[in-house]
Amino acid sequence: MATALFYLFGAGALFSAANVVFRRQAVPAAIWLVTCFFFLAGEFLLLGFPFLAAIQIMVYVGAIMVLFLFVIMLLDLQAHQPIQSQFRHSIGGALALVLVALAFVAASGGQALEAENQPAAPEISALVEALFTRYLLPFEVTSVVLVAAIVGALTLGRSPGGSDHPAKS
Amino acid sequence: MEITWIRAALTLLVGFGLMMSLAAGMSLVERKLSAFIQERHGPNRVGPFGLLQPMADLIKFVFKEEYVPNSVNPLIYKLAPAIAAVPAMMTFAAIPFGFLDGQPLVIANINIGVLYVLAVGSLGIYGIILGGWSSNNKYSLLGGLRASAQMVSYEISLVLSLVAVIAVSGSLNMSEVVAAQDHHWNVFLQPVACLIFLVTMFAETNRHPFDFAECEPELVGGFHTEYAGMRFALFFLGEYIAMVVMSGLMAALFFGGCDVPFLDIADTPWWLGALAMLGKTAFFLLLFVWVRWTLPRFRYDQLMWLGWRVLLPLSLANLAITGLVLALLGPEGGHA
Amino acid sequence: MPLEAYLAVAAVLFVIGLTMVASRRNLVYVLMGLELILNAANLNLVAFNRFHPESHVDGQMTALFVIILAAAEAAIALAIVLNAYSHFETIRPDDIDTMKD
Repeated sequence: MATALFYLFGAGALFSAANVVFRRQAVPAAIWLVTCFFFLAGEFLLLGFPFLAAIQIMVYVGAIMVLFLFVIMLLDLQAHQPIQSQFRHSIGGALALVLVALAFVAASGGQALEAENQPAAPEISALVEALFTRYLLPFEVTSVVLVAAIVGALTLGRSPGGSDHPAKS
Repeated sequence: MEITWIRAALTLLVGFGLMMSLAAGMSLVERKLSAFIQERHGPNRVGPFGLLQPMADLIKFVFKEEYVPNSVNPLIYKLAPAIAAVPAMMTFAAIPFGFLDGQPLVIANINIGVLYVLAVGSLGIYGIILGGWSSNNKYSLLGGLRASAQMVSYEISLVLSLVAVIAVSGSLNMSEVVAAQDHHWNVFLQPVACLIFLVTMFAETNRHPFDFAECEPELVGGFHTEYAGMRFALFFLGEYIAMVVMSGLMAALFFGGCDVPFLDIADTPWWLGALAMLGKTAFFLLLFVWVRWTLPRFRYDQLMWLGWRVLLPLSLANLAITGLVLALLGPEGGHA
Repeated sequence: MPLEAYLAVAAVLFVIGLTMVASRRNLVYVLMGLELILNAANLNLVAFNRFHPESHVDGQMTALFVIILAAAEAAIALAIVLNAYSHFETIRPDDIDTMKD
């Protein structure tokens, strides 16, 4: 069962990812990316990390990709995009990259660990405890990064003169 | 083994029937109550007091022609209504309706139920965005754009208000959150979070006064301008089920779920608890209609102003204060 | 499933993401490729976490931080894309070649 699901999710993720590359229109590409994230969330579930799967769907699918779609629709990409022009040149590069991937896989071989023998994944409480003890510093730094991101996005989103900013209320 | 399967099938059947009848009932109640507020009669032709109107509507939707305009992107156009309706249905599975012999009456008793609802609930927006984009129509596109910006903005406040509730209850499991509210509902412990959730739930379901995705005076029909027949009905159904789910969440997370005032949850008969939960859910469903005919629609910049400059700081402050109080109370804080 | 199976999926995913970043002449696609790369890394982290119990929650936690940073990155990068579009009227990275007016 787990094996079948692994192949299903893995093949689904790779198929969707390939489709992201090959779609001409931006919106279908974004939708395939969303599907890919879903399959990856499935892999996380399969590995025994339901919390991470939920976060993956919430943040990636629920927020980041909505932002992507928003920008794509604002820019109306398919109207003026000869995006495929240099694509043929990159097929050779892609093949080379696939070889690199195979090398990665080969290099990682030799330590066949089975998931069935592993103890259950840690509970959320263990995760949270680690977050506020061992990972306290990265956690705080992340909050600083997020504040910086908010300020940055605000600065970028503000129109240069500030005059055509919509008046509040 | 067999009994488990039968039990699972029965749970699914009852849950699905409950969800569908709540959504269908809501469509009738909304029309009836709107009529009452505007001193009209409302639907009264089909069956006694128009009670069979949802059936008549359904039959009409089913027999309408499935028209696909030429200019649309066919695959996504056909997919979007399903994407709008299915996540709303999925979230319903995690809403607990009480306890029977200590077992929660819920379709799926998920350990991270609140996260599940938030994660799956955030998918409903895709139906609106994709419906708006694939229709290849400027009004639909504008509706989809508005919906995406609005729902992403308000989702932050929604999640932050629920994080405060989770902190107080000490669990991500919906049934445990309900059980923790025995005698002291979260609405008294977290009034600000409750208020924020109340406002954001209107925005997340695209209901009046935040219904900018359809907003008929400005955008014709918004994202569903090009839709008709069963596909339109699916958008409609998705919206109504989302309302049911949001009301259920409100009842379960803030108003004690199956808890009857002055009774222990353990001593409450299961049918009374389920009835209490249904009653609370129904109240918030009625609130949706009530607000719709009471408040005028916001302007779009007012909506963004409210979301980013009022609700977001408020929910952050609420979360910070909640954390501070819990820390001062020690590890046994919250409901202890 | 053995660990290598997960690593293989992650590796191919990484390559697909890298292909997108390298081949697409459109900033939005480049960003989408970046997200794919980050997800491949996440899958690796999580898989290693699962198969090496002595790592406790390290992999999962790192994946969590990656997701948070990806959100921040996407917000900033998309804001830059929008600004670049309004300034240069294009989002081909090759055409955006001046740092100031």
